[in-house]
Amino acid sequence: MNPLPPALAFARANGLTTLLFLVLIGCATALGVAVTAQERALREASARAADPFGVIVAGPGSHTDLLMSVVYLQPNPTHLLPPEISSEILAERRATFVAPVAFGDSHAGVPIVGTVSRLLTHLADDRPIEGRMFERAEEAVIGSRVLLEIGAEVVAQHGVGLADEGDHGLIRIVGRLPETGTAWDRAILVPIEFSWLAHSLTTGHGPGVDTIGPPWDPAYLPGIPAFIVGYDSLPAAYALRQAWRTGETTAFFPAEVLVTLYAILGDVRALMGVLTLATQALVVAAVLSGSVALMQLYRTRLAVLRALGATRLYVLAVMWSYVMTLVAGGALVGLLVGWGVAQVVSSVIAEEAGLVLSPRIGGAELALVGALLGLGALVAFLPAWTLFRRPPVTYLR
Amino acid sequence: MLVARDLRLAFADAAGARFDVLAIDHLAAERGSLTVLTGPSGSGKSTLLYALSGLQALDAGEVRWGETEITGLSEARRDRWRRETVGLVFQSFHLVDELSPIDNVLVPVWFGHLSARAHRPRATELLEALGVPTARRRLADLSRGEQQRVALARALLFDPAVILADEPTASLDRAASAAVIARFRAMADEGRLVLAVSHDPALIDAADRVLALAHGRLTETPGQSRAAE
Repeated sequence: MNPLPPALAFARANGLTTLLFLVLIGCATALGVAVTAQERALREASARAADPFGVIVAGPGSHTDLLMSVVYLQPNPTHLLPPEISSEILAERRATFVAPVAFGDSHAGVPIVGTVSRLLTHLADDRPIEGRMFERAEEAVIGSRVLLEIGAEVVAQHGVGLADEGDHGLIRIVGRLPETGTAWDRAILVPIEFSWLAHSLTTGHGPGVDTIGPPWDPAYLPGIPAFIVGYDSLPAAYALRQAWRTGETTAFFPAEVLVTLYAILGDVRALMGVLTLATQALVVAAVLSGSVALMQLYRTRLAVLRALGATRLYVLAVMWSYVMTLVAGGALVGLLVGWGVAQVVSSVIAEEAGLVLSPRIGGAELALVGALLGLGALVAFLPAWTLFRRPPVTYLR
Repeated sequence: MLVARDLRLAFADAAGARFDVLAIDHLAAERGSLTVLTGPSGSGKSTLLYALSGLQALDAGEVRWGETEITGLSEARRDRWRRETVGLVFQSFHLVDELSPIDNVLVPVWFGHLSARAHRPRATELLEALGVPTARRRLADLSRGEQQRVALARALLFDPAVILADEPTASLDRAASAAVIARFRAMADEGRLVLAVSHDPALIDAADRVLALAHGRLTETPGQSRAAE
């Protein structure tokens, strides 16, 4: 007993309606799949991107704002730490490195970040840098996704964006970091002395000294917005965080801020999940009502099958298979389209934010499709049942 | 052999009053015969045909085909009996437009726990024997006469002992009608029981017996059939 040939013949008989149903179910499924796959990919990518940034120490302020500034390089106003506190942080013995960071400049929309070479070798995870590390204040290393060539000279502009707020002079690109999977892949990384000089601040070195990087002379240190502090053990990490949570500084792990953000995202995801399921249920209901209407067209054909010797059960199986073919076909199309949409959105996010997103079809997406198929399998009985109950001669006269 | 006794079936009209659709005391037909059932519209001809095939439930009565009393079978067993024993031909063919002629013939294979591939040679042979061009892939490419013969081939796929046909020539031209009548005659001569509802004088002429149905009651009309000559 094979109910598929008549079910597929019915689907072919009303090709346009079948196509419409497939598109409808496919769109609803794609929406759900794309949202869940994208949300998970974003969560994983943001966690991956925050991972190398150790403990962030900065002036008092919102941890989320600081995270967005330091890790994701989103422009946010930050308090500057006074030189005496900065000197204490720089002298922190429990840290494997202490890297000051400075923001606020850009070239053609690409953020320029001032820092030290030690942070860059840490981000590169000891992989070789293409070209070489910066050795002078006006040299730069670029992230792997920056569309500039080594040897190019670019103008640093004050601010981030297209508005021309004044030039800070030329920077020469001397190296390129390997991909780090962080927002820093889309940044121009300069010695922090360049950022200080560009803003007419002292460079941390006394008059006549044109070296870059530590040690700095506390007497010549300007205010610093934030530090990225490395550690080699969990006790050290927690000790550092504890030590710099003072009235004048704040310290946090990027992960702890992300956990809070994920909790909010999780609520949103749960809400979106419910909305997506509701959308799918509505679509299945629409398909169901359409199927009931189509059943009326097919009732004579089904009665003929009965007259030729098909059992009631067979006719029930034919109609159930027909509706399930639509639901399953739509779900499959939706799964593929949803995955495709997530890929496209991810590439846009990667381009915009520098995060490496890898959306994939996982348990959540399969559960979503499974729920749709389960719902479809149940409601598919309804139109079949309406015909199942009527004697075939009713439709043969 | 077909034997039907005391068939009773009544429907209610719009006002709720019941009227007899079938009130047949006795009907018998032998294998190897072509019987034509005539009667005015609404006289119950199609209902009788469906009752004899086990599709129409009766208020009372017994239909027996050989040793099998189909009115006493469960619905599933009646379906199986019909599938294996009866070939039904409809006035409006009831073919599946989206399928090729040969796939239409193979439709009963879908629900017969059978292999379409194994029955394909038989379907091809039937279509060729009935003069239907098997090379045509679309049903719409066939004339109405050819489509009726596809429906006939479908009815014959499992070589049924009984052919029940409802107005089989009503929508055919003269030539196509003559071909179908010749085929029915041949099937009866081969030993099948053929019972057709028809007003077609040519089919009546070719029949062994002609039965008339009026207000659900059956009378034999001698002198119209081949048997009377």
